[in-house]
Amino acid sequence: MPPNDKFAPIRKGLLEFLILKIVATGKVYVADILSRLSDTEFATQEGTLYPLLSKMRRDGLLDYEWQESDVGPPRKYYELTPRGRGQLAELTDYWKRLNATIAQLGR
Amino acid sequence: MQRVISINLNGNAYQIDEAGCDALRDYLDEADRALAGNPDRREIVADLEQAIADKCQAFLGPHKSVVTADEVAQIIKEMGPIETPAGAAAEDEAGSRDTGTRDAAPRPRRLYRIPDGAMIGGVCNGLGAYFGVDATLVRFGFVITALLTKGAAVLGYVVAMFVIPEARTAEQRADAGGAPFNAREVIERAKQQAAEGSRTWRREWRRQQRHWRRYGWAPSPASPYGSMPALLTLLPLFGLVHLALFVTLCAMIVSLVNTGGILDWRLPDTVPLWAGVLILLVGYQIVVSPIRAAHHWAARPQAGPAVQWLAFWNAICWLLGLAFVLWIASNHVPEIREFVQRVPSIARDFGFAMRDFFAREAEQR
Repeated sequence: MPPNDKFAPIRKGLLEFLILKIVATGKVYVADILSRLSDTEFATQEGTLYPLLSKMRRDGLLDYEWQESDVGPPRKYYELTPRGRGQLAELTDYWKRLNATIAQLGR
Repeated sequence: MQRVISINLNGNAYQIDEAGCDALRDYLDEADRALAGNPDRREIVADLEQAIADKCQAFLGPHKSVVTADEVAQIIKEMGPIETPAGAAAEDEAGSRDTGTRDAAPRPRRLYRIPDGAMIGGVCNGLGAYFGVDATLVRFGFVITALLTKGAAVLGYVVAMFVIPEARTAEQRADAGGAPFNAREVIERAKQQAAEGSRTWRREWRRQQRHWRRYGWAPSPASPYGSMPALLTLLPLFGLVHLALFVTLCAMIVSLVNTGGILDWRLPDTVPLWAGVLILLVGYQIVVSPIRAAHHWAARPQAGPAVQWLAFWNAICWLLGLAFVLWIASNHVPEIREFVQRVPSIARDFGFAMRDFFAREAEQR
């Protein structure tokens, strides 16, 4: 098993955290999110992203609004709700603690 | 030569060859299946269709108006399989439980107000669902508590009406009742409670027997009534005054509710009935508080087990007597029956008035 695959569940679990981070940078639409992730370890496809975004919206972490685009039909632009920002802060904090623990254990 | 089929993707028309069309339909059907039970299924499928439409657009140009099967295969590969996140899957289970599956894991029980079949605000209904007791029993208990606390429990009810959220969705109603309900579970739970109950009862019984063996039937040496003769005259006096005031309060409330006034005095038209009742209750508390304080002070040094038993039996007799009097009164005295019939609507008026008040407050903020 390549080391890459051992972390597959972790990458999957982190996806929500990363989406919160990306959406926190401002109003984004799905293609933005996909292109930001595409060159990373976390490259994601629409088939995964849309259900996840809808779940996060139902959890009250983010919301969208329709905006006209110059090319093609109107697009959904996502942004964080206050609750989403709270969750992002918590997760960032937790991620830092995890990193510190990992760094410490090896010594 | 390939046949071309015109399809509609989220409101956009595209021409795709036959094989490509089949592949696309399979993909979308699969997505539909994977999202079964997801409350946002339609929306997600529409989003997916839109994404596919955008990708189709990229393959089309001024001299190319048909998307080929190979291109569709590439699009589907780019889209990737439909993966439902873990949290959504759990909600799917809850959704399917409503439609009949009974083996879903028990969900935590939450306290909600249940408006279906509620008398006033659904608080007793919700409490009954929460503790697994019939709502009528809870209401009966509440009325007794309200009488014993001389109205304080009514204020508690009002607070609960605002604090406890209302169960609006089917899911919330399921949560209000907790774990899925079936006959076997009820029997199991009843057995468990009976076993626990008899254990505690046996323990109490053994303790009482030890006490009797040691002291006999004579009151324990620290008996307060023997040591402080002054109390013998004081306590009943307090009790009598207290009782007289309480009966007066009841008579005043009944009169106010039934006739809109007390003796010759009439409630002004600008003051709603519930406010009148509330003023009476508060006034009663104020008048009675010095008596109650004196009572507590007089009974303070007596905390022996004998007094506790006495108080316990006293309370039981009081409750039974009260229930009996209420039953007789509500069945045979027309004024009381009229009163009982009017109470829910007054309480409801009060609830609405409070709600409107808080809504206005929230608007102004």
